[in-house]
Amino acid sequence: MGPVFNPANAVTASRYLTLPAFLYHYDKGNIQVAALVILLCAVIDLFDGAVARIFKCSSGFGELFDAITDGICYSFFLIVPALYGQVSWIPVAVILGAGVVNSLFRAIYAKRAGRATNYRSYAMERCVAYVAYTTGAVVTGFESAYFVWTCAGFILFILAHDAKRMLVDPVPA
Amino acid sequence: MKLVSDATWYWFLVFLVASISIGWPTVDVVRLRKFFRRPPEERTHDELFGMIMGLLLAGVGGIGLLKHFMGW
Repeated sequence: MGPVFNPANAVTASRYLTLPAFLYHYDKGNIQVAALVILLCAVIDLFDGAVARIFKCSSGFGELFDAITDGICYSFFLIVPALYGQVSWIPVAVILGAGVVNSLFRAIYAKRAGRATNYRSYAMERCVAYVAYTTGAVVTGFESAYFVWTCAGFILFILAHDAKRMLVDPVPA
Repeated sequence: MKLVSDATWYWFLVFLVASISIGWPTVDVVRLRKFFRRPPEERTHDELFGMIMGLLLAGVGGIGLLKHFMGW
C-alpha cells in the first residue's frame, strides 16, 4: 500500500475545497457559478486515478478515500438544494441513506478482507456518475424532480445487487 | 452574479446534457463489445451488470432530455 500522503490523494482531497465555494455561490443565488463548481468537482474526480498511475501511488486507501469523497461531495451538493426547498427531501434522503448503507457495507467488506480495500462495483461507479449528473440537474433546475427520483430508484436497486457481494460472497485475495 | 446570459446558459446546459446522453452510452457500447470479445473465463458478472446499468442510466438521462423538450 502506498503512503497516505501522495499526489493522487492530494488531488482527491482538493475536491473538498469546492464545498464552501458551492455553498457560498448557491446561497448568493449565483446558480451558474454553483453549477460550474459541481462540474469542477466532477472533473477533478477524473484526474486522481490518472495521477495515481503517473506517480505510481495507487493504493487501497486511495480508492476508499476517493469513494468516501464522492459520497461526501455529492451528498453536500444534494443536501444544500434540499435545505433551500428546491427539491423534495424524500428522494434526497433515499440517495443519502443508500450512500450511508453502501459505505457501511464497504467498511464491512474491508474488515472481512482485513485491509483498507475498496469493493469495486462497476454499476455503483456509473450510479455515482449519475448522482453527479443529478446534482447538476437539481442545482440548475433542469428536470430536477425527474432526475432525483430516477437516481433514488437506481441507487437502491444497485445497492441491493451489491449487498450480497460485499457481505456474503468470498473476498478475493 | 451571472457569467453568461440566461439563453447562453440554457443552451450550455442542453449541450452538456446531450453530450453526456450521447457520450455515455457510446462508451458503454464500446466496452460491452470488448467485453464479449474476451474469453468467457475473463468476463465477470459485475462488469456486465455495470455496463447494462450504465446503458439504462444513459437511457434514463436521454429520456429526461426528451421530457424537457417535449414537455411531458
